[in-house]
Amino acid sequence: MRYIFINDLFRFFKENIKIIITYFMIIFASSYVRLLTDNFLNQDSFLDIIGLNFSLNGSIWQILFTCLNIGFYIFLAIKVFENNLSSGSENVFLRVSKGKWYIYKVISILIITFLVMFVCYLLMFIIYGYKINYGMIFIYNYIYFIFIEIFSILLYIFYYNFKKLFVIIFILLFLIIKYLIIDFRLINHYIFIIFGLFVFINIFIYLLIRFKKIDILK
Amino acid sequence: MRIKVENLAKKFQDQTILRNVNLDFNGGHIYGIVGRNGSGKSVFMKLLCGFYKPTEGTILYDSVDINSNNVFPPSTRALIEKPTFLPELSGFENLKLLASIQNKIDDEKIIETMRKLNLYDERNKKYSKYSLGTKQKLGIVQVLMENPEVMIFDEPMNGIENETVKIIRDILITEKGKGKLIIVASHIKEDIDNLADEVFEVDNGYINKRK
Repeated sequence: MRYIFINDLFRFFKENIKIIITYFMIIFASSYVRLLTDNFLNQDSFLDIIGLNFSLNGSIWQILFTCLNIGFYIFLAIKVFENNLSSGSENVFLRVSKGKWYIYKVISILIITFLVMFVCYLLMFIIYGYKINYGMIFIYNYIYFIFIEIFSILLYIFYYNFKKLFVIIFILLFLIIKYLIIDFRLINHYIFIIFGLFVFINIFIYLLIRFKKIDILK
Repeated sequence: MRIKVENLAKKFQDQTILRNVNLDFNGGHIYGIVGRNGSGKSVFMKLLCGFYKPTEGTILYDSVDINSNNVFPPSTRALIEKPTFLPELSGFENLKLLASIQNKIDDEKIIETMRKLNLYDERNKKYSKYSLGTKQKLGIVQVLMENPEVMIFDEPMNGIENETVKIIRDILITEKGKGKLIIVASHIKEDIDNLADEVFEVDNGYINKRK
């Protein structure tokens, strides 16, 4: 576990430092702009910036920030998942089984997501101060984004192993995407279902990797 | 340990890399695989490690088919292409971290293996500061340190100075004497001629015993 986590942590931050800093800067700068332009900062503007205020009738600002945040965390998950698959495979896969590797990898993604999100919230705390209920929003934000991350890993595995299934799911997703991206109120309402889906997808991927002959290595 | 390769073929899209490969590898031997660059040596090594699925055929480790059982080979270590370590950590820290996956060996064993390859003095130096040859030696230590039954090396002598090449040859011969199965691929004929009991040549997708 220690090897996989340290390896993921070092590589993710080292290889993507520019992207990570840009993301943090966008989040911080946007909060600051909101502070300058709005009369007072409230939970709604906070949710806008972390991408949890998506509405089809919402402003372009809300749509852009939803895409930015979801896109960034999908990028994080795929990058961490891919580590060990493209280089240094012999270091890991001759020492640990595929099933165990997947469990370690999920823990690694959970920890790195937590760290990044924590820094993001710290930056926003500088601007928003004590006006926001950070604890509750953080938990819901975290569960919703780790669900999206794991779902994107499932799609990634389908893309490399079951191309036809991937195309069908992708088209389906495209058709219903507006119902899938939900705002904070809905996340709040469906949090247990979202967490349940996260667990279910993880078990499904674990069984797929452990028992089905799929190529996870590039 | 015995590895039996039966009717093995590997294709990537329309390109056939290996075809109808039938080989038998036994413990207590060093096998050489030669062939020009791009002939399919590394693909064959990765197939042996279970990193690629064969298009056809089977690879048996002591009668266990690693592909149909969806497992990586038991007690096997490999150095394929170039070694991959964390540049921010020292050579020793990298090896310690790798050894922590299975927790089979202690620091003493790691140090002992580093000593054998003249790496002791460089153990605390950051991996990023290592020369090409030193990186390669660390890759070899990674293979040797946990005392595996099967060792697979792809171009192991890359960038290594002559004095250490001789040391590595001696180590591999000692390991062979302990009953280990060692497979070494190289495009340098001398590497193989000085080491291998049997030599196979990869050519046009076929792997045949060299006469």
